[in-house]
Amino acid sequence: MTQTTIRADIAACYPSPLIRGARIARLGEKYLGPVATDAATCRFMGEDQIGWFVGGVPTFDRMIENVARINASDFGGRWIVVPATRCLAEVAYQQWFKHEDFPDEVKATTIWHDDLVTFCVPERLDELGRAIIEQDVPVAGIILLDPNCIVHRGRGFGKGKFRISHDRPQLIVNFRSMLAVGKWCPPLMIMSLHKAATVSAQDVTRVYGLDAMYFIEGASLSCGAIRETVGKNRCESRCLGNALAMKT
Amino acid sequence: MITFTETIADRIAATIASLDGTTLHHDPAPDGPRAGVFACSDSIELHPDSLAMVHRHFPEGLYRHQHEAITRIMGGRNTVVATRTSSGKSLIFSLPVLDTLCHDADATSLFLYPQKALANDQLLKIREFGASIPSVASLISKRPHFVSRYDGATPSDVRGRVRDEAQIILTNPDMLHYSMLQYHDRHWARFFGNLRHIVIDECHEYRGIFGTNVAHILRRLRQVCRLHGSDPTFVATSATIHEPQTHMERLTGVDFACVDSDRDGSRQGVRKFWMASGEEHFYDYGRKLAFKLAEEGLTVLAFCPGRMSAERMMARLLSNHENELPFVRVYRAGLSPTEREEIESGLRDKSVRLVFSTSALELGIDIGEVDAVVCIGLPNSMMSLWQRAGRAARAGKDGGVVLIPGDTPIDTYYANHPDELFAKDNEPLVLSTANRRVVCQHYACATAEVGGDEDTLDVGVLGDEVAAVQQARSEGKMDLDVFYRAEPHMQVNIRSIGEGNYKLVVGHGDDEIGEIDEFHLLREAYRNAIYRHGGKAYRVRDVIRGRRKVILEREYSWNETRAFINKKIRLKRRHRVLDHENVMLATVNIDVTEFLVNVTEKDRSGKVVNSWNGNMGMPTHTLPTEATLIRLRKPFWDDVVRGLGIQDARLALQSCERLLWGLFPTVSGPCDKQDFSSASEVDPDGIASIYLYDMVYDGVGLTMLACDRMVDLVDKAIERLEQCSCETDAGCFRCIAHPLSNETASKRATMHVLSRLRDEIAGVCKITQAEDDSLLHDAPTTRPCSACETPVKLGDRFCSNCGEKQSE
Repeated sequence: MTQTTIRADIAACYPSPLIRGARIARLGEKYLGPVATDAATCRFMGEDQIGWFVGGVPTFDRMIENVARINASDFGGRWIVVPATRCLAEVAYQQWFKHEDFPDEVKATTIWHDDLVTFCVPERLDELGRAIIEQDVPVAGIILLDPNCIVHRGRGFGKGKFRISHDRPQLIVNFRSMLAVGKWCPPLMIMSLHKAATVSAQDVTRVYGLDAMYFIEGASLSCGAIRETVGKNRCESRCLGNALAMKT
Repeated sequence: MITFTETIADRIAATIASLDGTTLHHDPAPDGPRAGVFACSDSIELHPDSLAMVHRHFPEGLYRHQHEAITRIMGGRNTVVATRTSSGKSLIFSLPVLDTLCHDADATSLFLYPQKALANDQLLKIREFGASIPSVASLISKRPHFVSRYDGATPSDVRGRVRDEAQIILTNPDMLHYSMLQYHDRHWARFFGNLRHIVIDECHEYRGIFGTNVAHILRRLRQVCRLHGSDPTFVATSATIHEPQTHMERLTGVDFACVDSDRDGSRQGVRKFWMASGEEHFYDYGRKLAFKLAEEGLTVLAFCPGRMSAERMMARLLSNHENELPFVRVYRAGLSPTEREEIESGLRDKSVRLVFSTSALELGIDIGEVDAVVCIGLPNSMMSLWQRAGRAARAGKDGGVVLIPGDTPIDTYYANHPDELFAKDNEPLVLSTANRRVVCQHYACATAEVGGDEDTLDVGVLGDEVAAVQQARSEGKMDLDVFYRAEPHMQVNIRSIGEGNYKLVVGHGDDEIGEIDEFHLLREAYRNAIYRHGGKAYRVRDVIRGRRKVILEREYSWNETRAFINKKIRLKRRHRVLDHENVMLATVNIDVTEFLVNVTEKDRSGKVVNSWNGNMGMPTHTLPTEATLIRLRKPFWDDVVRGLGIQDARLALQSCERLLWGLFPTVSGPCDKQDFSSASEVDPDGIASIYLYDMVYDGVGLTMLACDRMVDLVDKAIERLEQCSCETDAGCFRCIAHPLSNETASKRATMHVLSRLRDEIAGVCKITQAEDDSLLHDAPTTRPCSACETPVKLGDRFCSNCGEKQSE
């Protein structure tokens, strides 16, 4: 049996807990305590195949904002953000670059990179995976933006010899396995507008090849570097509040 | 050049000799031929029509054993016949049944077969016999369903007519349980009220958990017969059974007379054995030999260790011959009835000449004359060996059997001691009618069959175990769910106790290609696995637990996938403890939880092309069972670790486990490798344990035998290690190397642990027996999650409500 070999620089991948939130039980939504993507957590998430289901994120825009804060933190491993569909990728692209002045013809793409995140639709994950391996880029995790929680159902099987089968979740499973180091795979996080209690969590867990899921309250989700100074606006104050809550 | 004077044995011998690097381990003189010993059939009190048929078809008279058995059955004695294969056992049970119909047209008979395919085969024979007796032939002509099969393959629109018309029904224990006994008063009152004979063919198949279930079903059948006022005679047959009389008495709960092989008077052809191996892997050697024999024009049955190996051999042959081999097929469980019948008829008409088969073709299915049987890997039991050998040289014809030992400790042991293999008797058959889960399930079924009142159960017929449950129930001590089910019959899985099989479906349609049980699901049809079926490859896309479906997609690839499965053991209860100074041996109850940890995909060159970590969404599988525990206490294990180092000590423990598991059949009776397994672990307190456990829910007392025979078992393991011809310290697959591990074991370290263990257990020990050994004790099945307090099934590694990892 292959022995566990963890990437030596795993701590460098997660120098600071960039994603934080309140962990809850799926049914009853009992609060179980704060949780964050520090190196230790991501290590056992990757080894034990535990995913995060961030349910009840208020809007898709909020998801993009959170990802933008991760991108702005400027340290740690690269996060791969997977919009569920091409349409969502287009929306995400426009949202991402809303302050940029692009010519009209460059309105959308299915894969783009920024400082700390790479956006990529599921269909191009294979291509991205090969590039990551070639360039030996440390990957911190995969964030699936699936507001309607449909990707795990995006499967169809042809009977004919030449009919191409369609299996979107498998693309993500294969991508994770491609980036595996020994028993460790980059953790998978699913962000959805739906609360965990409204989703068939066992089906989702099974389809993504996970052993278990942590359920995170979407409204409590906080991303980006923890700021030590008092923020000037409400958003920053809330970040600080969350950080302090976690420290206590 | 083949000449007409060449016998089949000569041709097989020449083919074996023509293969490069062949080593012959065993080449005994041929067995047979033997002339028949006959007895005059006039002394049996038969109806004139029956007697005329016997005179017409058997002018020389009946064989001696046939005559004796039929006389006893006609006299109303329960009889078991245990003569060799192809000795005319079908006539023994057919003649009394048909003769009874000559006297009483209302008499009914029930034939039980362990497999549907066997019933199908026998149906034609019985109809043929019946048609040659005028009194019976006239009845058959009036009623088309007079002799009928009644099993899962019987169309539902025909079933009503079978129930109304049939006097002879051929079925299997599953159908008897699910359909006949459950509805005995509504649909089967006529049949059970007139039941005269119950025929149990291939009775050695009723062993282990299947046999335990069948034992309870037969007791329930006797209870139902009493309710309807009948008292049928049992007739049982088998070619390979140890202590037939005892086994049948335990199976049915009634006394039996026996006609055994000493009285066998059948005519036999020449049968020749060889044990041979080559320089290459035994799979390759076996495949080449079987194919070469088939190319020589012989009909060859190649028995493989399992369904995966059978499929792989077929795939390898196809790839070497551009997918064009119409005369080669695979036969195994999980094929559709059409596929099975196609192969069976192909063998009969010789359009199929080579079949790679699992044990599915061992039993007496009529597949015509087979010239050669090739066993790739030694059969797991003597019963299996003689059943396989019995496929060749039938009905006075000649045949040959080639045994090819595999790369395992047990096969190597017998390759070095072939005389010991052939000197072995058939294994005693294990039945555990006290299996708690089984008793409770059948108690509930029996209660439903008598109208729901537990006090009216006939415990004299149903046995002591049922009486104990009745007593406990009346005292209010047992309150399981199973007693309150509306249809308790549907809760029983008589073949394995598991929760039922999964359907293998191609795509999301209803294109079902077969079934797979829970145990094999985790090994062969896990998610992303390449699953081979009939030489075709499929990718497992999903396993849907709720609908019990495996979704497959056709794949055009020669790649192979392999699953790595880990085990966790939970010790529940000790029964008998043999306490040595630093070692404890005990018979115990344990829970074995298996879970998938990794899947790798390799191409034909052996290069890993894909790998998936984690359980891939596959459910864990928990097996509550019985075991023998070898516990190496802390001082013992600390000494070993000091001497060898922690890594070598751990590997040595695994090697010891592999040797003890592999050689267990040499000290026990039943040695079907699928019936038992092993595990080893070192707990955080520095105590090492090896478990040998039954691969059956709640156990059948098989591996518990090892507790008292441990000295002998360890001696055999040491001998295997000393005698192995491999030259390196890392060993080989024949001794300590594990084919699924890439860690290097050490013979020296293993010998060190085994020798210490031998010294420890050779001394005096204190024996204690657990006081509370009641089978009626209820253990909890769930515990609260440490984080959210939701009940989590014991054995589950994570809470489904919050994802918290559960402590061991």
